[in-house]
Amino acid sequence: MAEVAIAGLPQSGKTLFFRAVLELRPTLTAADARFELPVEEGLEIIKKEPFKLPVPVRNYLVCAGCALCQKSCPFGAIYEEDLWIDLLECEGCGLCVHLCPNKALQLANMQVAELIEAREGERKFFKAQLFPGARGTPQLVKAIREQARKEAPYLLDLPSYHGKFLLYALDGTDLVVLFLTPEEQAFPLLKRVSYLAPRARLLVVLSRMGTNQTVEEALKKEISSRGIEVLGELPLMSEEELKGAFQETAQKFLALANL
Amino acid sequence: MIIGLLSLRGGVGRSVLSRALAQKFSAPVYELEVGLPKLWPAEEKEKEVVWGRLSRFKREKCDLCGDCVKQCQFGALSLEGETIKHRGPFCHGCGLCKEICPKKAIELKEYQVGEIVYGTTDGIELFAGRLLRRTPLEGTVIKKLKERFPLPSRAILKAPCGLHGEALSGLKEAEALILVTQPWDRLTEEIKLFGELTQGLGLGGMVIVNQVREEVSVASWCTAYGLFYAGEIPYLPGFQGDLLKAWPEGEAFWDRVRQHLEGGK
Ligand code: SF4
Ligand code: SF4
Ligand code: SF4
Ligand code: SF4
Repeated sequence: MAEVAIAGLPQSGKTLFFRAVLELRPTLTAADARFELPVEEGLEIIKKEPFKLPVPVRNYLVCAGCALCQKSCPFGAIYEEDLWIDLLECEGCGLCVHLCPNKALQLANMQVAELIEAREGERKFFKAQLFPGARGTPQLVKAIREQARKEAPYLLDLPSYHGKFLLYALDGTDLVVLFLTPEEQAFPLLKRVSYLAPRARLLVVLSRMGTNQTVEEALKKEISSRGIEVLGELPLMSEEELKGAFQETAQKFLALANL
Repeated sequence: MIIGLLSLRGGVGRSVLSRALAQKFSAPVYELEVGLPKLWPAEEKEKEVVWGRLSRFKREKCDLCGDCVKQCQFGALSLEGETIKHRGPFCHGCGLCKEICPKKAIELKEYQVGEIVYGTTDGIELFAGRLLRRTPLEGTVIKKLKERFPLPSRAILKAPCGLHGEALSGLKEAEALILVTQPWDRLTEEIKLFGELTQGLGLGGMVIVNQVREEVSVASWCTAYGLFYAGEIPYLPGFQGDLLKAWPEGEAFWDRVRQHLEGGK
């Protein structure tokens, strides 16, 4: 299994599990898809590279102000009043660039993050640091995975952000460890992950069990009807207890994933 | 006052806080976490399908020149043997491929990409959106939600988890931002980042620390980064749902939040 991702609902202990697996395999490549905070202490940075997104830039000397770009932007990213391009809305599709009759627009690359290659003991660790408030998490997770793939197998820890980012995080993965808790959201997430990573082997860890019996029963039924393996089932516990419990789950996972 | 509610990490209490704030301010909640909405009205009053455009190929017209594959910015197209492979979930429906195809082999079609709903849960008004799994058009669903149910002068916008541009993009109308967090080892770094963000956006920022077991002293950190520290909400074992009921001692806290948000206006 070359590309392994850990996804799931919040408060399920998935990052503790990630750490538990890494402790057992000091050479396994790791990647982290949380981009906001600076790199944690303990990681030795080897390389930093600028990461850029395509954004349209207008040359006002040739722009005729015809507003065709504004009218045709599929994402409503260009303001009617002053034709200003809102980079928080722009998806960088390039349609406006193509349509502008005066060739006044061009796609340029704007740096939004730094891609980081780091070392943790013998292990390679891939991360990124996003500029405060910048967009680009889908493209960043894709870029990080491309780097980590060169040092595969790798283990990727994902945040509990399930926007379109998830699509780029799971596409083409070989194995997904999905952490679920007895909440209504577990059902749509299970379906979505199976859909987005159709050829991946799926292993479920049920966490915070014993807190909502009706949902738990329905969830287990759903999991078994889909023929999905349950890697572990854990009651609601403290962080310390979880760390202990994950020792065993991590061992079992490593054997199953052949890592 | 339109309030944007954010958190860096998931599961720290955005849903619970948004409900409590809605009660305190008699304002509706807009659930913008459309990828996996947590808040959904128990009683649905209105519901609508969200349509979005996605590209579709007429294979018989395509001569496999590959222009569209090269131009698509989202990697939704690839040339595989004798056919163009269209990877549905990646298509943003921008229509660039349609514009450049010399053979007019591509059209844009309307598909169902999500749904939006209005309803109530325990008397709280809730507007929520949900993205269907086969598309990346999160922004389309959020826009449609605000278009169909325009924001009143008071509203709580609940953003998806994260302090990145994707999470912030639905908060344009916000006049103040609240960061909800819990004690953890990177709390001060989180506050610093939130301070930078609010300053960059020119908005007032407030910090609420939830599920506190032992007092955290971050008030001076907040002040240093231009943020208002509303205080902490204690850890309430076994708590689910209604924060106002579960924490009757919180009156002073809520007064502080209200005063700060409304005092400035
Ligand atoms: S389409 Fe081109 S010329 Fe027209 S307003 Fe846009 S940038 Fe200017
Ligand atoms: S690149 Fe695409 S999304 Fe961005 S402004 Fe141009 S048309 Fe709109
Ligand atoms: S519509 Fe846009 S995103 Fe979809 S395939 Fe065409 S170029 Fe790519
Ligand atoms: S640009 Fe048109 S003709 Fe060329 S490969 Fe794409 S669909 Fe086919």
